[in-house]
Amino acid sequence: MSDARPVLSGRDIHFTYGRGADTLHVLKGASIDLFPGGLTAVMGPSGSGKSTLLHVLGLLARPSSGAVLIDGRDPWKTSEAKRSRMRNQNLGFVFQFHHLLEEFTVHENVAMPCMISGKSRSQSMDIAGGLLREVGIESRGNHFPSEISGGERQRAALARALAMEPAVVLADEPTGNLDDEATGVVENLMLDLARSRNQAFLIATHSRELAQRCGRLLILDRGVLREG
Amino acid sequence: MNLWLVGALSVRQVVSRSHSGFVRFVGVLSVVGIAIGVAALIILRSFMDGFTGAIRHSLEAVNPAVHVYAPGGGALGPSDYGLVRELALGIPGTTGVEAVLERPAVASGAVGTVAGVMVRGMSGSGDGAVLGIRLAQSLGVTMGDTVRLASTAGVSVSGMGRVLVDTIMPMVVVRVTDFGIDEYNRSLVTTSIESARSLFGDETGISSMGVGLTAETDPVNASITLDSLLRESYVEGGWPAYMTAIPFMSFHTNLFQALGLESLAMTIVLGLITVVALLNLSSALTMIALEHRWDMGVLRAMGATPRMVFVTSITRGLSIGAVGVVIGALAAWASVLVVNNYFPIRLDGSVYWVESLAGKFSAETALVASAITLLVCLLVSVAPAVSALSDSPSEALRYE
Repeated sequence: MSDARPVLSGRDIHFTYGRGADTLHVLKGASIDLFPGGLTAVMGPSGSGKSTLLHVLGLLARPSSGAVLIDGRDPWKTSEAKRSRMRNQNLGFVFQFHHLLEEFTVHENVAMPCMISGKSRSQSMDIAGGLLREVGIESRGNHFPSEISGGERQRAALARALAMEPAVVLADEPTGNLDDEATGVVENLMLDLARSRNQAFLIATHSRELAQRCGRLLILDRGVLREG
Repeated sequence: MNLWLVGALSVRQVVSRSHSGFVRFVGVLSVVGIAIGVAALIILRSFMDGFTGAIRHSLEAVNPAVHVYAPGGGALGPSDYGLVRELALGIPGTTGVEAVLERPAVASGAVGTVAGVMVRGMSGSGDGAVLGIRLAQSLGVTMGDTVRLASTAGVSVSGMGRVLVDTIMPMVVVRVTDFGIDEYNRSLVTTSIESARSLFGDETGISSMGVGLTAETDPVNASITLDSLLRESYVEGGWPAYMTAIPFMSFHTNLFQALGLESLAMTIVLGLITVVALLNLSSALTMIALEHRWDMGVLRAMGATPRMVFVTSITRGLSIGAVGVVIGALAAWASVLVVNNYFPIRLDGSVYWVESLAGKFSAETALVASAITLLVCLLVSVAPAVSALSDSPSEALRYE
């Protein structure tokens, strides 16, 4: 464990769906610290709460109890607008199904977080162009997501997650929908970028191989998070 | 907020090829509904304005813009004419002042037909009679023929039951004209004021005075100015006020108020129908929002604020509305143009005063109708936008 200050922390996080007898306790006191440059894998069976953990840590869902801290600050004690800004500045997401916007080109998709932050379109497109080069799909920038392969889409999604140079990238089964060859490319890329950019990566995955390549493995089993 | 992004998100999501057939159908239906509503509103106003304008134009073509008369029916004389002329010519936009003597008479033509007419003698007119086309037809006369005019003031019935007339005056028809208004075409005879005075046996008689104005001069303002000048001159001269100046249109206040009321009522009814069509927009926006629920979740994950999501949703509604409004306004413009040029509307002049109806497309009307429609689009878009906001990003991302 690093001596550096964690860029993202979860403290005794509980998360429940529903009420009364139908209450589903998804997270039961999960705690986690993510450090710059640290690669952490979370494994667990389907329905164990991996996505929910990432959503809570990514400020997309409010924990039922416990706290999420970004740079030591609790985002849930501020306004929704400021929380959105924190998400934009500090967090990047990679989803299993890429979630690129179909109506925008790959280049525009990658530039989107920068445009959301208030940067001009041309400035955002410049940043996105560099990232497309970095993930090796520069030539596909003017294509729409439906016109490129699954592996290329996921590389574009990775580039998009890195656009604002966030402290933390949360990847929810990023290779879960890819064939073996594309999985290898995306995994290598992700690990290389994490190391070269000194960003914290938290990767939810079913892939033991990917988990072993990460520096740290956590197991989420029936809502309880423990070291693997 | 990056406006390019908001605009691109709104427009591209509206025209997205990924929409299901039904959502596309509802979207197209919204655009068509808005277009028809806007077109109907503009076409209605164009033809109502055209009708009102045609009547106004026809009336103004025959009558001076401002009338000066003695409300109590008092006789006016040459000195009154002199005073009015002096004052009126000092008002910018005045083109001239005419003394008018207008009285009822009886006219008979070549074939012995007789018609009740209104003889209007004007100081600016030449000798001879100018007849409305329908009157000329009913009297069986044409240019160069002679009509006989008799003043009804001197008519009496003898003991034998014969109708005796003091003055019968033959007058050459110098022109047969279309006065533009059926009532005038059937009964008006214009001539010089001297001829009218001879006919009515009144050597100096003036029943009113007409002040002509340039087309750019507002008759209402000019009449107010002239009226106040007349009053001032009475005060200075120590006379009681007895002449008043009014715009000619005041003689037809009821008509124009009725036309205005009818136009307003029809606009309100059509406007309400358009609002009903706009409610369909709300359904379309809700469906589009549902189909892009994922996208909104992704945008929120990337840091889009609720405000940006809200503005994007509203802009979506406005972009659909804008397309409908532009199509509707263009369709209205084209319809008015086609009807005016290829399918002119004929009216029964005896019922509607004018014999043809031309639409008068006004950019101002189109802008107002478009602006109001877009405002309603904006209001209708609020509910789907608020609904989009109520989704947590996590729920939106899990939505399939």
